[in-house]
Parts: sequence; C-alpha cells; structure tokens
Amino acid sequence: MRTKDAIEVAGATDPGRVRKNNEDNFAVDPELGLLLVADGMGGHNSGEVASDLAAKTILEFARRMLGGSKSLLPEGGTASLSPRGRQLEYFVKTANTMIYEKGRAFPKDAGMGTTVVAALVDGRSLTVAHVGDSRLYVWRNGALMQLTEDHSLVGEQVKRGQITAAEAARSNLQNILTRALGAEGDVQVDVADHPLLPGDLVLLATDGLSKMVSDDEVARTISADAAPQAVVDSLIAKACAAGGVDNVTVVAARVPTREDGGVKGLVSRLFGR
Amino acid sequence: MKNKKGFLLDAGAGFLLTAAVMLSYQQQWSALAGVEFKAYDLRAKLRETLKSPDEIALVTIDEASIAQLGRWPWDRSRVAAGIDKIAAAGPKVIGLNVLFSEPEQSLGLAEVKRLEQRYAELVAGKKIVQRGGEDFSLEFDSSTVALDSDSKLLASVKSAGNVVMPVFFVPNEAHAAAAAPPPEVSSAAVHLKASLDPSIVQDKMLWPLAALSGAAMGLGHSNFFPESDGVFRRDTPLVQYAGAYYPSFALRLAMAYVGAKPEDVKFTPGVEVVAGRLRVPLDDDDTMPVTFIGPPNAVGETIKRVSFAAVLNGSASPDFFKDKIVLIGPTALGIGTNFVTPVAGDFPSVEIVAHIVQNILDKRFLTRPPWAKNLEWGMMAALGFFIMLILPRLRAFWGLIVSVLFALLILGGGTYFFVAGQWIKIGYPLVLLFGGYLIVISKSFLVTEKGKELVEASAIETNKMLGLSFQGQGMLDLAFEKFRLCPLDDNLKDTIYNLALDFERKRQYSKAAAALDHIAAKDPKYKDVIEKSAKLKQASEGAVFGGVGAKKEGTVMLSGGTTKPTLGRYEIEKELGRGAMGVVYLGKDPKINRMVAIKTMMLEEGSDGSSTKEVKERFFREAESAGTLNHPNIVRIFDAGEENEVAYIAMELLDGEDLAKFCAKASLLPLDKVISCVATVADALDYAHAQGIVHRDIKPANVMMLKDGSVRVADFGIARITASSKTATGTVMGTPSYMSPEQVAGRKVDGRSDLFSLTVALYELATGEKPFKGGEGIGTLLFQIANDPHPNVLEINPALPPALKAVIDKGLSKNPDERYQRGSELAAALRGVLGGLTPGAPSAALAPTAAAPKERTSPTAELTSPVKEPTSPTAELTLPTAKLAPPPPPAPKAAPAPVEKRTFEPVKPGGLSAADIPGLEELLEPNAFVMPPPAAAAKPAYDKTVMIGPEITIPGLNDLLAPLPPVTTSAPTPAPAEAPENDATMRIELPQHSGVGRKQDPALPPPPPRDPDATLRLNPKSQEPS
Repeated sequence: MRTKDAIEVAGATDPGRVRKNNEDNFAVDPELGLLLVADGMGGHNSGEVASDLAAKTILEFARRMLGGSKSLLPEGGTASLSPRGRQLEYFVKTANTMIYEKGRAFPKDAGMGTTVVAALVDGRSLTVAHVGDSRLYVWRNGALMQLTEDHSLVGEQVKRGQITAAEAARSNLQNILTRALGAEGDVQVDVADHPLLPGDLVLLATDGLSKMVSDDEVARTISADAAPQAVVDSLIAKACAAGGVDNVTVVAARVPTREDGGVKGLVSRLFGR
Repeated sequence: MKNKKGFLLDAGAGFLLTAAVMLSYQQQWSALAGVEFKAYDLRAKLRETLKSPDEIALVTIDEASIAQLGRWPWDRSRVAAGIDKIAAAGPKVIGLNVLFSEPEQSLGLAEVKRLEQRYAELVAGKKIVQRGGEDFSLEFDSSTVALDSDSKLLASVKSAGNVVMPVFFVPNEAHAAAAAPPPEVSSAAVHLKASLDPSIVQDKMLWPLAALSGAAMGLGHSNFFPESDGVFRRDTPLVQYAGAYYPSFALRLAMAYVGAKPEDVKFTPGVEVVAGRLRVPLDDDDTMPVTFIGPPNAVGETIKRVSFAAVLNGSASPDFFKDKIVLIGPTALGIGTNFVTPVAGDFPSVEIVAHIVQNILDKRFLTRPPWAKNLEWGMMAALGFFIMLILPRLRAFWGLIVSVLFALLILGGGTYFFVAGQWIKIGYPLVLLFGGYLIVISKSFLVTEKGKELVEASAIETNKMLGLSFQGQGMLDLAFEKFRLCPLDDNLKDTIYNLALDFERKRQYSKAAAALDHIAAKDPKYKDVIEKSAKLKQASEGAVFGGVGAKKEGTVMLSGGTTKPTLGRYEIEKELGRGAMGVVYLGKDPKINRMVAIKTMMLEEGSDGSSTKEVKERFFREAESAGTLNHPNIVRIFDAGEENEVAYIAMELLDGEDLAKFCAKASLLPLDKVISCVATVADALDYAHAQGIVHRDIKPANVMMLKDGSVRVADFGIARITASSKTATGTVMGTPSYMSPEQVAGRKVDGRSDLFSLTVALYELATGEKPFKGGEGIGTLLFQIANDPHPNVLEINPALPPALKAVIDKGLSKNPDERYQRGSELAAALRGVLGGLTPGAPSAALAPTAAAPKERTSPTAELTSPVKEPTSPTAELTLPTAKLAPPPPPAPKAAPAPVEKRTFEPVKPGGLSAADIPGLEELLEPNAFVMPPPAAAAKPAYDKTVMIGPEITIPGLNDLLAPLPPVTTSAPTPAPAEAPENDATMRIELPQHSGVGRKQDPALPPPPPRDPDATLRLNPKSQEPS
C-alpha cells in the first residue's frame, strides 16, 4: 500500500509463541497516512476489545475529520500543538473516552485498557501521539531513533537515570504502566511533530517486539532498500524466534528515496538536491 | 485509489491540452498562431542588420516633395520628368511603384478637346472663316499634347526602357471569373505548368494602362498579404492569375537587376522559385519570410534614399542612381499604403519592396528547414509527455525550475536558429508548456491545497460523531446524551429514531420512549413517534409483553427478579464498586445466608508466558494462603473460585471506610488514634509476614476503619494475585507513593517492604503530607523514594513527639536491614511513643480518647461478639474458620517460623511459662486464638499474654493480644499498678528491640463497636449500598 506521497506502508500482528489470544491491534490508512498500533490489556477478551476499539475509533475519527475535502480541527486541545497534532490528540482522547465508557457500561469489559501509538505521516514529516509503552521509531541511515518515551514505571526510571536500560529489561515492574487509554476519564497524550527525510523508515511496535529484540538488532534488520512488508515480517519472525512471549505487532512506513521518483528523482539529483 | 485518480486527472488534462495545441498547430488557428507571430516578431528584430544595401536607391515621394510640387497625385508629366532624369543617370532598373491603371482625367485637356470640337463645328458651319495663313486647329493639337501627360509618361518609360511597373490584385467580393488581362500584361507574366497553392491564386487584378504595360520592362505585383493578425511578414514571390504567374514587384526588380527573364523562372511549390542565378526558398505556404534590415525612414541606416523633388531640381547626384535599382514610390503620410511589420508599425510599401529585393539579392533568407516540422511535432509530443506524466509528480518548486528551463531551452534554441536564418515555430511548444504548467499547478493547488484547508469543527459536529461512536459500541445512554446536545435537524431525527429502536431492542422501553419524546417535542409529526412512544411507555410499565409495535420478536419479558445472577455459589445482589482489576459485588451465600463482598478479576496468561492454567493455579495458591490469614485485623477471605475465566474472591463484608480520607491536613485523626491504628496494622502485618505472606500494597486506602473503631487490613495477597494475572503490558496503577525502595527497583520484596509502606502511611496520617511527593512525572517520585531522605516530620508538624520522628526515620530507612525487621517491633515502638504521650500533651492533634473500661476489650470484642450477639453481622467473622476446609493450625505452623528465627531470637523469659498465663492453654489450641473463650477475653490478665506472644512465637497471637493492654493516655490513673507489671513484661522483649518502646507498651483501644447491624461498605469509592 502506498500513501499519496508514495509512502509505502505495511503492518502485521502475531500472537507470538506463548499466548493463544492476540490483544494487539493495528491500523493503517494509506490515504490519510495514518498508522497505529495498540496493545490491549484486561481480563477475558477485554484486551482485544480495548485495542480494537482504540484502533477503530482513531481510524473512524481520522476518516471523518481528515478524509473529506476539508480537514476538521476539533475545538480545544492543547494550543501549543500543530493543527495535525491537535487532531491526533483529539482522536486518541476520543478513543480513551470510548474505552473508558465502554468499560464502565459493560461489566465484562471493566478495567480494560490499551496502549496506543498513532502517527500521521506525509512525505516530509510525521506527527506522533502515544500513551503507554508501545513505541515509534524512525530508522535513518542505519540508526534507529526511538521518538516516544514509554509511559511505564521502568521507562520513567530509566529516564530519571535511576536504573539502566539493561536493569529495566530485567525489572519485574516492566508490566506496570503509568498511563493507558481507558484507565481514566481523561488521559494525557504525548504529541510531537518530527521531520522525515527521504529513505526514512517509520516503525511502530508494541512491547512484544521491544522486549524480545534489541534496538540494535532491529536497526540491523532494516536495510535501506527493504520493503516495509519485508521489514515487518522479519521483525515479527525475530521476536517469535527470541521466545515470542507476548503478542507482536509491527507497522512500518517507508518514505520514498529520490530514486523512487524515476525521472523526478533523476531531475532532483541533476539539480543537486 | 485517490492516488491513481489524481494521476489520471493530471494525465487527462495534459493530454487534452497537448491535443488542442497540436490540432491548433496543424490547423493554424489564429488564437495560437498569434502567439507564434509574437515569437516571430520578437526574434525578427534580432535579424536587423542596419546595413544599407549598395544595389538599391530609393526615390521617395515624401513630404518635402509634396511641399514643393503640390498635392499628390501629381501631373503624370512630373513623374515622367523624374523618370527622365533618373534614366539619364544610368540605373540598372527603375521600379516605379505607382499604379497608373486609368488614363489621367485632366480638366484642361477635356476643355481643349471641347474647344477643338466646337471650333471644328464652327468652321464647318462657316461661322468662323479660316483665312489662310496659320491653321488655328494646330493650336489645339499642340495644347492637347502639352496637356496629355499620359503620353509624356509613356514616352519617358519607353525612352528609359528599364522601368518595371506594378500590377495589383484586389479582393473580388463578387467572385466573378478572372477577367483576362490585355496581351501587353499577360505577356509579361510567367507561364508555368505547375499549379500553385490555391491561397496564392487571385481572381481580380488591376494593371497599368495597356500602353504603359507594353512599354514597361516588366510587371510585378505589389501586393503585400498580411497575416491573420494584420502584420506583414512574408512576401509572396509568385501569384497566380488567370492561368499565369505574376512575380512580386521585388522579385521582378531583382530579376531585372540580374538580367533574368520571366521565361527563366522555375517554380517548385513549397520549396523554391528559381530565376536565372536568383533562388528564393519558399515555405509551406509558398511564401518568403522577409528579413527587415531596420525600421523605415531611417536615413543613412537602411535604404539610401533621395527625395523626388531633389531629383527634379537636379540636386541628386547621378552617381546615386548609376547601375542601381532605383525604386520610386510614395512614403509621405496619406499617399501610399503603409504596412505593419514585425520591426515597425508604419512601413511604406516601397521600403518593404526595397527590403525584399535586398533579401533576394543578398540571399538573406529566413527559411523553414526541412526538419522544422518534425522538430516541432517532436517538441510538442515531448512536452505533452512531460506535462502528463512528470510535471504532476514534481514538487511545485522543481516543477517551476524544470518548466522554466524547458522554456529557456526552446526560446534560446528557437532564437539561435532564427538568427541563423532557420525559422522554428516555438510559439506552440511554449504555449503548451506554459498552459500545462498552469493546469498542473492550479490543479494541485485546487486539489491538494484545498485538502489542507483546516476548518474548526464545531462542538455539534464532534458531539454527533461521538454519539454515533457510542451508539456503535452499544453505549446507548451516552449516545443519547451526546445527541441531545445537537440541534435536532432531519438527519439527527433519523439518528435518534434509530437510537430509540436500539433501546427498544435492548428492552429499555422507557429510554426508547424518552428518545422518541425528544423528537416529538420538536416535530410531533415525525414518523410515528407519538404512537410508538405511547406503546413503549406501556411496555415499560409491563403492560405489554413480547415486543412492541410491529415488531413481534416472540420473546416474553421476564418479570424481573425471579433469578439472580450468580458467581460460583454466590448470588450477586448488586455492584459495590470497580477497581482496576475488576468489579466488586455485594454477594450472598444462599446456603448460610451470609452477605459477602466479592472481588472479581480476569484471569489470563501471565506476563512471563505462563499459561492460563498456571495462572489459575497460582491464583488459587495465593487465595489459599491469603485465606489462611486469620487475624482480627485482617479482612477475612472466605472463598475463592473461578467461573468463565472470571476469578473471584469472597471476603468479609465490612462497614467502615478506609483511611485515605484521613490523609488530608484538614481531616487528620487524633495522633493517639493514628499511632494505635498503625500499631495494630503493624501487628497484623507481623502475623501475615510470619505466615510468609507479604501484602505488597500497604496504603491508607487498604486499611479499613470500621464503624466500631477497629482496624482491618484489606486486600492481602491481592497485589500478588493481580501481579501474576496481569497482561504482559501490565496494568495501570496509581501513583506509587507508598512503594518501598526495593519495590521501586524491581527487586524481590519481603515483609520489611510492607513496613516501609506502612511507615509512609503513618507519616501521611500524622502530618497530612506524603514523605515523597514526587514532582513532574512519576520518575521524580521514584527517584525520591530510592534516593532522597524524607522531610523531617517535626518541621511539618512541630507538635509531634520527637519519639515518633525516631520511629518514622527508622521505618523509612532506604536499606531494609536498617528498618524494623518485624511488624511487632514497629508496633512496640509505636506503643512506646503512645505511652510517652502525656495526658496534658500540647499536641493539637491529640484528642482525648474515651476511656470507658469497655473499650479496653474492644479488639477482642470482635472475636467474642458472636458469642454475645450471635445474630449480628460480625458473627460472620467467626464462621469461615470452620468453613475453610482444612484450617491450618496456626500454632504449629507458626512456631518454627523461619522469619522469626532470622530476625530475632526466641525470647527465653526466665520463670515465665505457659502455665503461668491464664488461658494460654486454650490459646495454644488450633482454633483457640480465633475463638477465644469469652472469659479469657474479658479478663484483665490479658496484659500478660502480651509477653507470651513473642515467647511462644505464635504468629499473630501477640498481634491479637497486643492491643489488649488497657492502658490509655486519657486514663493513665486506672492502671498505676499494671504499669510496672507491664514494664516488667516488656523488658523481656526489650533486649531484642533495643531502643524501641522503652517505657510502656500502651495500646489505644479503639472505640466500642457501633451499629453492628449496619450494612457494609468495602470501598469508599463504591456505591452506597441501599
């Protein structure tokens, strides 16, 4: 699939080697340039319900508000954000409301929640919003940059320098989140804009990947010419090979390199850009 | 896909434009031809040389001549005189660019003719007599000759012998057949077999008087056919008329100059005209583009010239005309025909002729190379491709750059070739490029930029969207709530009507009716809202069974309340509240009619990859061990079960509230109460730790204060169970203010972690502030817990006793080894502090506590109450011990407790034995401590059991009994005798707890039980049971 800016996107989810059910969900909309992954939690099948509801709500609101001839900007929101950031924040907050209210309305879904990391990408930039410990990376020229900070206890500890990343990987508090969708009536969403360069690969993943495969290994798996689908498949395979104790979900989007543009790329190169 | 659609749109627009330009090119449509003309004109200026040709001399009938010789047309004899003068100078050829198509109409000549006729009549009529001598009639002849300038001109032309004269084609409006010219004219034409382009065939011609034509050296047409925009650019060297071809005036002059005759002319249509050594290349239209040397009337720069008047008065040098082509023609305003040319807007025709002659003689031709057409088609095709496929994919900036480069390339190339004499039509490609650029850019602006237009979404829109989403998720109440916020338009009426149907399907008839009423309030005629609403209201009152309205679903409404939902063997009465892990219900054990609190949680795979089965086993293991906790200050667990992957724990239902509300500065409990409360909890923890059970989540919210004043620790083991059944992603937890440093670090925790948490709670209950407040983000808090010392309590509340500070400081040690190692140590220390509180203590937080004797026994009152009041709810407390299938004998299990061995040595109080203490035997029996004999509980001798606890190391036993010492701060007097005894017993323990609880071991008995029959409350956040 390609977006209107010729960004190639792909995504897949896998229950892993240990669990029978898959509480992860992902969604991509090439037309809007929307990518998201969500990692649900809660008893019964509520985890699936929560992550599915997050994905569906964000997708539905993105289509309603961005899909038409006009781009609708919701009232309110964090004033310091870019318009696209405010839209994405609104989608995520709406998803939170839906999950929270559904958890209150249906006893079987009580207490369900989900992480979510959602991004809107075009050829030049991306806007990312996230809650929880699902991550967004950008791979650029062989280096992997994590653009989101985990909203987890160990994430906070690492951020504070209280423990090292290696200690965090061993900590038995890894499964404690400090924020999640559906936990409370309102949620604080981290939103940020980042530039993109030709050849960048945007990677969204749940902790099923980050716990199983180190960032270095992820960076090595991605190559400059690999198609997103191939990246997604190989990362999931690596997570499963490493044990696959959790559900793994990966979504990838590749910003076209200049060569991708054919004559356009040639012309661009001729003029030294 | 939008992408593909956009591409097709771009390519389609580009294709249409390319096709239009190509068709226009082929058809020479004037709209685009104009652009090409403009491009031609711009380039034509570059071909100006401003070099006077040597072969041509111009005799102009200019303003000066008219000023001297009178108004034009002059008497033809003047022209004849001029020709005579020029001819005398010996020019090669004289071009007289004036058409004398009619005989001159001279009034004088007519009068002379009339006089001659009259004279002849008079002579014939004998009215006048000719008297010999001179013949007067000859006078007429001489006058006639003198006045007949046509004849003079004819004579001059004849005598010069090298005069070329013009013919002129005029528009033939009537389309009459071409009149055959007189032989004198047609003999001067070129006769060829080849047929010409129809466009240069003319059908009406004016020629000079036959005599003049015959006398002229040759004839040439002086027509200049302008282009469709009225500008003259191209000469037509040959024009067909009546089957013959007439060379242009300029060509004829050049032919005469080089001595070529009409018979020498060879013509190849579309290629060339050859006449002797002259060759004129032709374009597709059989025309010859004229290269102008410069603007007209540029004296000394372009064509050398002399005024006609100057010729007549002899001031012109004969050398000026010698061996040259002498062109005579009008240049003065108003007397000749002027043309618009690429280089000037007012070009006299005689000068144009001069320029053309110069072109022909100097071979300064602008030709269409044979490959020009191919190149032009190729350029248009390439640009069409560019517009269709490439330009739309370029970003606006690069699109502009590339387009401008193309345009410069075309312009530069076209101009280069033009200056070199090769005419490439660049107008069409440029139009195509420019138009294509405009289309693509404006399209991308309209389509893409418009897509980016941001519009503030109104609250109405977002409410509606939210409502639809809620409805889609089955949350109809919330959906209706959102819809109500929107103005009721037709669209929304439909939506709400559908919502009402959804309500009806869910059998929520009154809500369905309310939704319909909402529509009816605005539009009663909308569909069947009124009737349907009425039916629904009946249905909601139970009057109608089995579907409403047209929908017969066939199901019958159940009359409510016949069966209650169950979980395991418990009937679910109602929901009490919700936690992160699940719901808390009020349940009833129907067999023994006991009300319980049922906490549910979802079981699923553990974070470490363990299967559901393993998680389940672990859950039951945890529940079982928590269930073994049998302590008056620990909330009892009766039962655990699992149904449909929902695990539940049935536990004691309590009437009270947790301590979280007493953490605010405004609502602090009296200090003595706080300390005794915390000491009680510490004892309860000691008991549990001795069982090897760590709470892990000690916080004020997990400590219940019952209405009777007693204290219970809730949710033992729950933290562990929830941790084990958590999803891999984990659960959300609140701010971990009460976590211990080792917990924060994710290390293994033991009972000392709980004691840290309890000290945090103590700190907060005593001061109203948390020792670790955190800051921005949870990380700060975690850092503080792990590293920062806690603020001095005395600084926050100076009224607190310094002894309490010491207890808190020790309890909050970062290193577990430096803390109290056991709950009992903490309890003892606290009671020591309590004992230090004097009755008249100034602390404002210290409120006097009622010192009724009954209170002293209050902790045991819970245990004994079943005996006293068998029907009260507290009686339930005692029942589970019998029910929990194998009640593990606490004493044997606890006696060898490794924890105790590790933490302190068993007390060996000399002389003190179990036999010395009344009631000890009973206590040592398996169930004794949970069902102590009422008599034992009532005896003041219980003081001594405090000593026994540690000695015989029955876990929980001393916890149970510790609060019993009836020493109160408010009533110190009643126990003066007991105090020393107490001291003595305590001394036994002191060696093991050095520095703690020095003096007394006072306990503050909680107030007596009140409203024991009140309904119970588990969680202050839960709903009020009704």
